[in-house]
Amino acid sequence: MDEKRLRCMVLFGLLMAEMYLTFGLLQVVFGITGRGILLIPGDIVGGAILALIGSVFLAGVAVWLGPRGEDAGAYVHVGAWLGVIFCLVRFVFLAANALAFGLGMEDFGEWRITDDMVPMLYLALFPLAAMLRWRTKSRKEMRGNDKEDEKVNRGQDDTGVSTREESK
Amino acid sequence: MSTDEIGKIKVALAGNPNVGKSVIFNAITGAHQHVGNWPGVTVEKKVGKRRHGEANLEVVDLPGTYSLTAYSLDEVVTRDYIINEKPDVVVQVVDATNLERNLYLTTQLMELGARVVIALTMCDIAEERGDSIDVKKLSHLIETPVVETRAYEGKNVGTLLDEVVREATRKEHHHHTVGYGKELEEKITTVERLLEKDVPLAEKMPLRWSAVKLLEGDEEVTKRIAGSTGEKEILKIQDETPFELIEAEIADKRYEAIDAVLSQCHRRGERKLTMSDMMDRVFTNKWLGIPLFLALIWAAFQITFTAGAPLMELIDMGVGALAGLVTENVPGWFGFLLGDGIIGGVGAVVIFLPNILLLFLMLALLEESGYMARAAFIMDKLMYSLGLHGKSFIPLLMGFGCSVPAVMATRTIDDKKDRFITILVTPFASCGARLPVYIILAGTFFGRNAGNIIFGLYALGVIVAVLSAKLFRSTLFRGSPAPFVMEMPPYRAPKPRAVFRSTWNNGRMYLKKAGTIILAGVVVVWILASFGITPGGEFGMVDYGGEESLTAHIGKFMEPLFKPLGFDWKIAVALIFGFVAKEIVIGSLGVLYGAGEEGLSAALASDPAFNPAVALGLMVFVLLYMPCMAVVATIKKETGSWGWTAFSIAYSTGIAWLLAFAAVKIGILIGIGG
Ligand SMILES: Nc1nc2c(ncn2[C@@H]2O[C@H](COP(=O)(O)OP(=O)(O)OP(=O)(O)O)[C@@H](O)[C@H]2O)c(=O)[nH]1
Ligand SMILES: [Mg+2]
Repeated sequence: MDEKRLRCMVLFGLLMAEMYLTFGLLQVVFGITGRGILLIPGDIVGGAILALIGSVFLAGVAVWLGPRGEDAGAYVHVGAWLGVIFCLVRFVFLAANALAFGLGMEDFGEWRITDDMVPMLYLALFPLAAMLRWRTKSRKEMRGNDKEDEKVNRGQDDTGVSTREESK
Repeated sequence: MSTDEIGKIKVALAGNPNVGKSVIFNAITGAHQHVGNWPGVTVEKKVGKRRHGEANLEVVDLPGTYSLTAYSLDEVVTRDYIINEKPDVVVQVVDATNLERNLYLTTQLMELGARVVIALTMCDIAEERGDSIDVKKLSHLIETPVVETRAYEGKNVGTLLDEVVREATRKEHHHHTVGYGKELEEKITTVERLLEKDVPLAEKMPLRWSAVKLLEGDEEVTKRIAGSTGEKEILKIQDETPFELIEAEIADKRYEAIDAVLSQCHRRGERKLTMSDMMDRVFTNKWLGIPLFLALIWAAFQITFTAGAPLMELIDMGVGALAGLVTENVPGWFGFLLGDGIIGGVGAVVIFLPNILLLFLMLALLEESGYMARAAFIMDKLMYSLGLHGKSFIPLLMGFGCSVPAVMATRTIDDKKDRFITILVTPFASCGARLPVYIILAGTFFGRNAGNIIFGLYALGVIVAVLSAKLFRSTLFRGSPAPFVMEMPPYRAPKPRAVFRSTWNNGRMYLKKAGTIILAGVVVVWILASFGITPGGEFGMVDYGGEESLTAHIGKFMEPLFKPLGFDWKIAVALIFGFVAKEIVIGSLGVLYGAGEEGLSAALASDPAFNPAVALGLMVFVLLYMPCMAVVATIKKETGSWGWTAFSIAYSTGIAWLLAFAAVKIGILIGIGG
């Protein structure tokens, strides 16, 4: 992977770090004050986890500035994975709560689907999109490699973000 | 064996840790051995059978070992089996992504004179990496059959067994070994000659292997020659031998031989930083490691609880309807036994199947992904400062499933003190059987906070375990933990088949337990609750669960002990029977409250003897008090001492009482006690 792509990734990481940290900290604060707004309900634990994912992205940016800059990609990559995994977890909650509502269980009379529309769920759209893009891109590179590999491979190789697809 | 007829063939599955032996064993025998992506899953040998063509195979799954010089208890099991039981064929399972180190064990097996068949695993991963292995050539070079397997898909197992049978029935066994150079070889020959003098001994021990081991200063083998004719002279040779130097030289020669073979048949793909390496940078990061671990565990528990709740409700509805049907239509005491006793008691346990399945699904993901070993690594520093070994973290995590395999898993811990401390504290990790108790009580008395209360209980279990370890370390087992050495397996996307298998096995075992031990337990409780001493002083059927019933007598007898905790006699009875299996705590309460139809939750909520503070105290007590029968038996087996077993029971029950007392008092203080 080349320098340019790494820079792109770090930029994306910075953006994600900001978003996850902001939403996460907001949720923690709302959780403590006991308020919360539509789509950003108060939730101390959930917020802390978002902030943690944000920190992983941020760590990527920090690593990029340090002596082993090429490792940054790993953090951004894993951060994106974490975003998607926790989104899945949250989605399972949503499905379970919807089922509980459907069954008319106690405590769920008041439940609305918007209660479960939390940042952990919708923020993951960004890492998901990014991951899909990285995949197609590396596939294309693979195909391109055979013919005009000079262009793609000119930069430093082995920057720490080769995916499985690349090595196939 | 006699090679003319095909009769019973003893086959041992040996190999380095975490190479896929148990997967192959399961594929051959149809067993359900525990499989997981970290070294040290199997710690006890396990026998299975299989008929293949004319041959009856007796297959043994062994713990993994890096060499035949055994260090930890699980490795000793393997070494003893291969040397003493002399299997007809040793199938060495070899990880294709790590040929060099795996073949090292092969050289040792060959030296032993064992008939070896090599089963290659992880070929899919080697391919993905771009490695290429010329299997035919490898087989030819080492003069040993090599079979590429894909046992996780059930493929090529037949071919492997064909080779095993062929090898077992081959008349000539070609003995091949690595040469160690003139000087060493001379020494080896001298020792061999000396060993040969003692005929009965020489028949039992492979000569060359024993000679090499003696020159390496192996204690076990030295013990074995005690009293033999050549002993004195051999000891004299040993005195003049620099063991470490010899060992290093032998290892060098073996690796040289391996390299010579591999250079002709193995080509490595270009190594790139894999996803696994990337994940490691992040997950074992100094600052992020522990928070990420906590976040993942939190998610796992939330899924177990949140996603399980509505599914549980569904089963609960079914059980309630069934109980209603039975009580209405089956007359007399039998209907009573069936409705209130069996359905009330067993049903109260069975409805937790979804939670149990989810719990084990989470554990299977944890194990199969390779994160288990990382968790141990991440926690090592913290554990060390608390007087525990990093590896002790694995039994603690496994303990969330069931304490029995968790206590056994301590065998991979080399140091005896480390191991005993871990055995004593592992039962504090809250096992799956305790989960139903929390779900009912927290669900009934803490509403939407139930999830956090349950997570808190799990955390409390771990905290008590760790603090107890600290206490034991500074009193009973002084010293510091051994350094952390453990191979990190690669991260792998868990194979759905493996995860499903493991989850379903555990679910099946839960149902089986409900249908056997728990059923028996609740029937006993029902009988005790139905019979008693009538006011006239006679023995007979009394008011169900009333003051005259036997349960009431037992409960009343124990009541002074539980009174300070605010537990009434029904709880006392449930706790006593919980020793058999912790699910019976819920089963017994189900029976005693006759909760078949309306559900236990509703019955508890309307009982004035219960309030949130008592519920909290009860949960803490169930979390910590003496482990169940099966675990007690395992502790006895693993420590080999009744003293330590009794200590474990007394200590845990004492701690349980103290902390439950504290929990109730705190509950009352913060106003949830009424
Ligand atoms: N990709 C792949 N994974 C495999 C293969 N064989 C086994 N596994 C996985 O490798 C891991 C280890 O398998 P086990 O069968 O538990 O290994 P073992 O050799 O019995 O390990 P110990 O008992 O710890 O010595 C599990 O996660 C399996 O799912 C294979 O051929 N390919
Ligand atoms: Mg195994």
